[in-house]
Amino acid sequence: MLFNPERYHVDPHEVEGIELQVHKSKASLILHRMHPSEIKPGKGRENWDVGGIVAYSKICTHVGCPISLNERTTHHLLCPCHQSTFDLTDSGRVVFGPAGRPLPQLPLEVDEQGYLVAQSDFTEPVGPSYWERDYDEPW
Amino acid sequence: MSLGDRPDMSKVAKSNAGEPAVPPSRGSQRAGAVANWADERLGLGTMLKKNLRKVFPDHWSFMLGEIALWSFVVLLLTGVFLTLWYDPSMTEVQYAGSYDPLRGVHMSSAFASTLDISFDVRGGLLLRQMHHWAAHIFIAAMMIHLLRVYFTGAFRKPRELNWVIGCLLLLLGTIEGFTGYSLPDDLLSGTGVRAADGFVKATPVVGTYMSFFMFGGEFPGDAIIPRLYIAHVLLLPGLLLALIAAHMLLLVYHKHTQWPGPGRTEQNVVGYPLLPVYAAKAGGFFFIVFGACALLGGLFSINNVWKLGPYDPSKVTAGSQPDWYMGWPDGLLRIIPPWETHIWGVTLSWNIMLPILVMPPLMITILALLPFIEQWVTGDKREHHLLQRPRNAPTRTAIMVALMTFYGLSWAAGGNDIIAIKMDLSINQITYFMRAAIFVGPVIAFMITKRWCISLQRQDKEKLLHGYETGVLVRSPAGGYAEKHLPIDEHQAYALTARDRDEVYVPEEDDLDGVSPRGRRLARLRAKLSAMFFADNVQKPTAAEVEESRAHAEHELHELEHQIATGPNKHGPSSDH
Repeated sequence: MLFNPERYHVDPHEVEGIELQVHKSKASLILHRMHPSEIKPGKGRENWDVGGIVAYSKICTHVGCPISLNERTTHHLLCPCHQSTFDLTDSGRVVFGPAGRPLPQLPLEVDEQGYLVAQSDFTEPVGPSYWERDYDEPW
Repeated sequence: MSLGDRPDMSKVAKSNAGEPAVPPSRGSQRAGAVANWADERLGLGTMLKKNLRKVFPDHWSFMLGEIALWSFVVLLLTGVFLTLWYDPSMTEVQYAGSYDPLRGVHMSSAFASTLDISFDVRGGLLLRQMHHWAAHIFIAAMMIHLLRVYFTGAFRKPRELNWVIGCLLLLLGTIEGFTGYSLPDDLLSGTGVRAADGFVKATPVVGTYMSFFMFGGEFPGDAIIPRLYIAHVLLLPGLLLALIAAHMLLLVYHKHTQWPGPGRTEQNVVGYPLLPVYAAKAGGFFFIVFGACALLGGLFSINNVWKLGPYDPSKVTAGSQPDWYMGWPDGLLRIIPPWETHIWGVTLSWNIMLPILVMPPLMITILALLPFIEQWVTGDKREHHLLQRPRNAPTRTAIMVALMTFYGLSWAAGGNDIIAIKMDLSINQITYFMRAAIFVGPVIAFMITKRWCISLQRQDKEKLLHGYETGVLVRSPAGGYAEKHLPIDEHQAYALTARDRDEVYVPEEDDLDGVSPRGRRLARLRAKLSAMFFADNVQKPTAAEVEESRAHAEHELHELEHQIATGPNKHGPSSDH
């Protein structure tokens, strides 16, 4: 989206300078490919991958570092700041470290032109926790 | 010269009236005129007369605080230089300086000017590195100075408030350090600011509002660098300077503490006068600290911001670490279990609040309260100007060692990724170990330190009562061996005995009759703590005990000498041959 503004009708000033930084700190993505049989899809997430390609928010749910250390064989993602480890085969579940919530997953599909696109926005807020995070959740 | 002799006074002038032997030179006349001019307007004479002869006691450990002071001066000097070139702006520019690998890269003006300081300003990199090294030294020196003050009991009345000021200086110095290393806006420091945003957002109720206020909108915005800059160059240094001034004024007002020794009492200060000795020593020491910073800045590179490039919220590097003094809360942040509560539509992030929002303020509060807690337990309201050896306050020493152990383990946890890589260990196991160690470690450290101190006290008592070991072994006629002990010299004995006897507080049941239940509980708690503080301590021997042991030692010595004289193993060449 960010680097192809015309296609998505994004205002060009949105993709430079501070606006770009603000977007990057929320919209950064990890695209990860594994064998489709390795994915343990969560409830309602059965069709969120495309042939083993999954997309997760890159922003850690602990304090917001971009997670970037990929353990290739286990498909675990480790945050270099405080070592929270997320399992990308299992809905971004936290398998180790201080992060309290799984990584938000972006549902993927292929559009009619063959591009990999998102089915929708993230279904939950990305990044670190905050007080009002669950305001919209029924409780 | 024996005491009875009178010194020869015949050559000493009876009076200094009349003309001086040599008329004052033109230069000194002029100097006198200037001094008089200034004195009549500023009243310098009285002030200087009083203060130039002010006495400071001498001990190597008293210069630790001086290192902090002088490194702060180095920070001011180098910092002023950096402000001439640094541009605190988040405006995006394309780098066009002389560092080739980053030319053409889009970055904030702050980062570009930091690169200019490093590569294009003459002496810029040296000054920048000196500034950063001096910051490390500043905070390290404050901490070590704090330990010295604590371990020697220099925080006791009347210096409790100066202790509190010192704690505030440590806190402000740490924040000043954080704002400073965030300014280059490089990848590492930007990641630190990002984490700080996470901390702010984790604050209950007002977190998101505070974050939006801080960043002037959504993270990262374009306001944070100018704001950090103003805090770093104006607000915090102003507060630091004011507190340092208060710290020094109180030091002058209270007078410096001194180690006990012959001639040193609670009423006097024995040492060198400010002018010329102490001023020269302290002034010279500034140049040593400056030189050390210059050497470090010139020889050891620090914070090579160009290696990682400008801040990009989607990038981070492995081995990300804050500056060392931020390491301990970061360590707690790493080892805390993933505790988060989602209840009634709100989120409580214990995994951030406990290590960052609770622990550092709690630790500083504990630190600031230590003098007052000890005073309450001991009930000691007297003034103290003589220092104590750490061993003579075993529980106090043990408390600080426990705190240091907690600090050290938390700090090590902040490097768990580095430890895992360098020592080829599992990061998971290090983390699980640390989770237990930060609780168990301080307790073990407390117990070991306390017993260690008491053993040292016992050894001191031994030395006083039985003298020191001479290393001379004597064989008795019966064939047994004994080591000759000799009494320690009087100065040493004085220093060893120059301390108070500890008294355990025992509340009298009668006294508690009219006391409220709460007061009674407090008195019992105080009694328990007092017993913990003092019950196991070894007290110094009484004068009678020392006398007795001296007589005993003399007797023993005679006996040994007699044995040597009459025994079969006479030393020296035998005359029988």
